[in-house]
Amino acid sequence: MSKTSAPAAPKTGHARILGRLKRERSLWAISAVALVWVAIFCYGPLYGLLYSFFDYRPGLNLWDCEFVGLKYFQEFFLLPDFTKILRNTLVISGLNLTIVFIAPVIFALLLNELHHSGFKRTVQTISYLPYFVSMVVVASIMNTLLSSNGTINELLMALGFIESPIAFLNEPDLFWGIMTVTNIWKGIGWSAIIYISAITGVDGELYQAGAVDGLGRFGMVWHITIPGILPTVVLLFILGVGNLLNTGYEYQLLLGTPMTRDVYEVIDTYVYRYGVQMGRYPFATAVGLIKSVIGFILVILSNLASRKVTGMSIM
Amino acid sequence: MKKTHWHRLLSLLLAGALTFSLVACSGGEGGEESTGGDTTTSGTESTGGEGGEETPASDLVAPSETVGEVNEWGYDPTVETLEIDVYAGIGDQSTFELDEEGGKAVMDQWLLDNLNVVINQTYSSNDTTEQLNMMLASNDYPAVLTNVPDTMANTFAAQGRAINLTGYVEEYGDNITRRMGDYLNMLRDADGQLYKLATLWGSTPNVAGYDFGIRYDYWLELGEDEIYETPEEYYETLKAVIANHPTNDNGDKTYGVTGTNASGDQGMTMMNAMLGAYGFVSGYKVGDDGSFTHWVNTEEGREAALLLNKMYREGLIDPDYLNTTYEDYITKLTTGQVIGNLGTWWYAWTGGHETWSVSEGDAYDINKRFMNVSCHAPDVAMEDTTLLTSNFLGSYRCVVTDKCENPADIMRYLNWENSELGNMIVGWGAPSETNNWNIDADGNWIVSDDIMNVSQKNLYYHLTKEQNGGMLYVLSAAGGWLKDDDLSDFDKIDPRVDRVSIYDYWPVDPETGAFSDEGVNICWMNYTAPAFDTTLYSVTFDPNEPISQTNQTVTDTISTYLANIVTASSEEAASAAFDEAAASLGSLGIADLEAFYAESYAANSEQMAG
Repeated sequence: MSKTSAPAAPKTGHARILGRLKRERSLWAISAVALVWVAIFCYGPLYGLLYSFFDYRPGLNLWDCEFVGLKYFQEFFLLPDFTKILRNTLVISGLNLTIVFIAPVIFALLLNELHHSGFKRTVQTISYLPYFVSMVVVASIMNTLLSSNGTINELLMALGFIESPIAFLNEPDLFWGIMTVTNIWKGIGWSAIIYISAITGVDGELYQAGAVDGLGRFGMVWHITIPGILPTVVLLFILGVGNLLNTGYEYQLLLGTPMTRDVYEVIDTYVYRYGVQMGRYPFATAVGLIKSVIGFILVILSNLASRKVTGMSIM
Repeated sequence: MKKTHWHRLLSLLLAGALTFSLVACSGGEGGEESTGGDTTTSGTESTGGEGGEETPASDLVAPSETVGEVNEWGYDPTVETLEIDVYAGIGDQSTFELDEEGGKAVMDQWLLDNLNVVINQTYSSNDTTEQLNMMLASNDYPAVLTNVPDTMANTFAAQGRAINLTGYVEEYGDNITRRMGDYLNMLRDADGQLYKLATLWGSTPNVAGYDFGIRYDYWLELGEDEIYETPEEYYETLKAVIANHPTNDNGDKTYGVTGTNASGDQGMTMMNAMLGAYGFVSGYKVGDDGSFTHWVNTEEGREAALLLNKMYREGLIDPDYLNTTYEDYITKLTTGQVIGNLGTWWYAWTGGHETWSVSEGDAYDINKRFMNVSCHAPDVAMEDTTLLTSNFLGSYRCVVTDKCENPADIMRYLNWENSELGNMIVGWGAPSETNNWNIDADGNWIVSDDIMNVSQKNLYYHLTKEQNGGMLYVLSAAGGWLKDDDLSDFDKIDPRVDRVSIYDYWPVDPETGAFSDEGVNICWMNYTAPAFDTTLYSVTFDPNEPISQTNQTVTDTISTYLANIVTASSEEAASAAFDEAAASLGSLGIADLEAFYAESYAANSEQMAG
């Protein structure tokens, strides 16, 4: 008579979780501080979202303030300049997500083609220095370059391209272009670091195989390097889409003039002046929540699109 | 199954975090202290948290025991040291504490030795309003707040966080009531209660205001017999000077005037100067019936804007006037790239002779300076211009908060600060042999001979003042003209100086009253616009009221339209831009703003009358 042992009773859910926690205790220990940080600084402030639904005035207990529902959300969508503000935000973000985003990728690819390591390092170092220049200094540099007696005007006049100086910073038609060029200059080196790192991670044997198959330099970039760094590019792009409505406000406030207001006023500048500076915190919070929700939806959608089109996704 | 468990755990954690943050953050927001009274803050009609009833004298907190004798400084010190915790607005706390010139130590010691007072003053590096809002939210603020915007003072009162000072002022504030006169009524709320005092108040001691300035040496070259009087004549004069000096010594093209990129300027200062020549107040034409009309709705506004456009088209306005920093503005004046000054008078002073007299030393020619000039519109008498404005109450307030346990003692100190002697001491530092002023045997306030040379003001007057702690602790004292008039008694001030304030002074000939410095006389000999009291025209916007947003929107929009008008390529285009501005601002609610200004003016007038 064969002796059969009864199968072990399946572990309960709690036991299973505890077992897993025990097994992974070293990982949990490592990430404990980060989790606490996230809990305190990322989830704790979520409470503040409630302020957008109340007529909150600093100093009063939130629960003593009148509940106004979606009043401040409606106010945002009914702003007299809403269309203009949204258009400017989308255009500036669009330029950042396309031209400014892709420039570091191209720069990294070009840098990778340099063989003289000293020159390569020098170029790379110089390229990311502007990232550390504060926006105030950048604004000052742009003023010096683009004022009526600035370097650019003097050069153009000396070359005979123009007869009288152009007030570049007062030209609404030029604002987006100047901003885009400035953003590229400021961020190209720094943003390229991650792509250079990704390129370094591409398997060297692929290049050898490519060479055997007769790929030239351009072919290797096109068929090996770009596909190799594509997951990184896609990841950063998807995350960037989440920031579509976050254009920042420093550049606009420092270099914008009344003449360029129609093209520089974005959600962030508006909220800064009409929310924070005027002490209308519920309004500022409401707009922040709207931006976050839209950003979240955009991340999900772009992730889905990416998964469908390229097969790559972050979730 | 396994996955589901993890999802549950994650959901539980998220829900827990949210609940935790909800519970943790819902407390500590003022609690009981925040529940007092009406929260409405509308202009000067705030209702105090104590029900708007005057605190009966019997309910006043009694002052601490004093020495019982008023000392030579006009103060009866408390037996125990009076400590006053003060928040003084935006500032550099580290510089204040570092006390490089030693003035803080000197003033601290003097206050302790002579008044038995210690002031613990703090500043914030961020905006005062933002800081005060944070203080309200955290219920963490000191006994006294100064340099507080009027709106925030109203907020403290409305939330019951400001002490009703009415009874204390009546009991201990005789200097305050005497020197502020009827203006004190304007600080009262709708029920006549005082929850705030003014700080840095008083009439303007300035000779000049909005300026139609010009390089004096260049103007002399024109050989004109008389100075220009109207904006149009100013334009003609600038044009003539530019024709004589098309480039500066560096070879840069010269311009008549420029502006700064500061928010609030960007062309508005030039326009405001123009409007001042037409007698407009804060950009509004005030009718005899008390109506207010914004300049975009007036023909005078059109005339002024079109003149600016003409100046721009003819190269008299610097094309970079919208994005020139203050420092660049001054440099352009100093290097002679800009030969006039349309707007703030002292820019020309700083960028002009104040710099040249130092940099050129003995070779400096006294005529090389900017002359401040007042202009009037053709149909407006100089007496009716509003170029030199004076708001007696200033923009800042002092609040004694509910954290204060000894309001009577505080009020006694504030009252001393508002005595003539106290005002001078907190402004200039205590009188002594080493300070800019001293008191002689007859009780006269004698200024040092060192400060009689205005060209050396920075070296002697301002540095010495810093070394003596002048202006370090101004809680609610006057910042304006320490003038001998019906309200104040400053007849002891040395007759060799005039227009004395806590900031400045001017040496004069005691016999003639003329400025003793020849250069100063040149600067101001053609500034004849009288001071215009704008106190009744002051407006407070509650950020929570829609009118506040209307005001901000109009302010933003008007600067864009003004830039479009000024830089238009032809007079027709400028005029069309003006029409567009009027139509656009009309749709943004400028009529509401006009009505609000009129209502505020009427309310202020009524309140001032008591």
